[in-house]
Amino acid sequence: MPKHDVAVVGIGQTKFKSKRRDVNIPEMIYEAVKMALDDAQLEPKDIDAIVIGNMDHFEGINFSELMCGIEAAPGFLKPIVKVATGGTTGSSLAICGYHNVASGIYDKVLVVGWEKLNEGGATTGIITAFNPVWERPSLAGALGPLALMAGMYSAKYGITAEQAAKVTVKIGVTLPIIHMLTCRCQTLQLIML
Amino acid sequence: MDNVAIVGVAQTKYEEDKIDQTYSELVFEVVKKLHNELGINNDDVGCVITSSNDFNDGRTIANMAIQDAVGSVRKAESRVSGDGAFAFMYGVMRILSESYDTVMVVSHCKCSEVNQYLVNNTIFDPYYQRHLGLDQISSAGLMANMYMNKYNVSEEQAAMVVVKNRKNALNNPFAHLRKEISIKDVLNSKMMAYPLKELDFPPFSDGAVAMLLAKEDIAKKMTETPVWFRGYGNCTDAYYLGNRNMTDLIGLELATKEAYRMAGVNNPVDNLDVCEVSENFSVHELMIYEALGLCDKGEGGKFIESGETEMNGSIPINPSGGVLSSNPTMANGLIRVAEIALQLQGEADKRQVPNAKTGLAYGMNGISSQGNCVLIFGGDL
Repeated sequence: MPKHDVAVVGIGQTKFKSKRRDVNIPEMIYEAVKMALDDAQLEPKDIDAIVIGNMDHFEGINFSELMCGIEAAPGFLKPIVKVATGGTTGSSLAICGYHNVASGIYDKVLVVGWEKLNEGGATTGIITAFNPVWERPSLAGALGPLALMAGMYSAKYGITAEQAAKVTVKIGVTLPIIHMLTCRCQTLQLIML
Repeated sequence: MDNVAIVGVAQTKYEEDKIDQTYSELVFEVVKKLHNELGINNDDVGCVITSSNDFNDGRTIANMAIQDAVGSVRKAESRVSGDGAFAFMYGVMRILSESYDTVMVVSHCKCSEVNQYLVNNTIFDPYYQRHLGLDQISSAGLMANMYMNKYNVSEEQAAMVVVKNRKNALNNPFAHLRKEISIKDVLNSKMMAYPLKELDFPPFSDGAVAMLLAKEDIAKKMTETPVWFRGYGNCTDAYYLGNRNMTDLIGLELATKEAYRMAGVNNPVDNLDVCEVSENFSVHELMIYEALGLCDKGEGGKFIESGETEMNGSIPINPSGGVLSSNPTMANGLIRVAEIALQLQGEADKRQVPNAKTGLAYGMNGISSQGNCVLIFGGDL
């Protein structure tokens, strides 16, 4: 049992789509921040600290917590810490926010996770996760290793392509996913040039 | 609040180009050293917090590349992206929340593998500022020029910081630059960004640092000299340089006040015995003296002249030689914490400040004190 109980008191999400041409990165983050603050009936001045994260390579911004945390989150003259753990960044942020409060150090913490992948390249970013000598030259990003995993799992347990497709159909986002694959392929070509 | 202590620290030697080791191997070196020194194995480590930066490692999810080295396979691990002082505090929080009894905190950086100009230029926003070519050197020049002009601080006074820290580094076996230099050497070195010359800036270094934190009862069992966490303050200054008060480190001032309040420090020069601070350039350390309240505003130049921050002064700053002597950028904050731990344990060898009981470590993110983390430690409970 933690020393201090912790609760979520407000939530904000933007609409998720492949291109947000109408806002820049801080503006997009502020949309979600404003919604969360309104939901909790809090003002920026009520926030004790900010935990924020994304993956630097995806948008090509180093120390993104400074640009985004200060300009959008609203972190000017407040404590900010950035947590970035790849695909687990969102849940790692939530865990960090929890420890900030459960430790008794802060009372009210704003936790912000974001990506604006249209302004960078997800595959370009992900391929740098792999060993630069042995794995990176494939330029396969996440798709290559995921395909290997899916192939091995399907072969071992006799999973069919139709069963896999049912997951996508259930989620109901078939078209956007096809669209996303196209985008990734374009990025791949750019790197090889 | 419960008590959390540092029970042991380990560092690599800091060098210009550790071409014979990958950064994962650097991390393994300090983790293994820490295990051996404390007589523990991986099962004694509750969880791991690492600190690194994807741009400096040239690798996204850079913590993934060191999971075997830190022993975090099938163990809880998280990564603070940025300076190691912030990772240290996350580790403390994980113990204070009563989730873990022990936490290992590790930070590494291999500056030799990347173009540091590009790494630092990408801190600036991609829409308006990045294309101007700003980096930490040009920003430091702007800051130093405004500060020195406002408070009438001389280039000689700034050079004294470099001379002091390089002299201290002679006593630190881990330091990268271990060669004494004179004020004249600094003043005659190549102009980088007026009024700052080449020797006003640190080198870029490779290295890693690790430490184990533990809650009170376990810490007392593991070591006779636990170093107790006493105070913490964190505050972020403005992002755009034009929005900042470039002559005073406002974020650091506020973070310091918070840390002093938590640790019960009223008069820092009297209450603190030693400080380790992340000074990114010579003038920066003078500005840090003022923000820490060691002297009045604008008096940083006179304060270094007084000799109070030398090894035999009333408040020695950077006995290790500081960042100006060793600069594995992301690890700097955690190195400051490790050096304070050694001071308070009485194990700082030739760089030991006699009878050091209370110490301050300062780590920062971004361009010259944008993100600020101030930590205070006390040797006795």
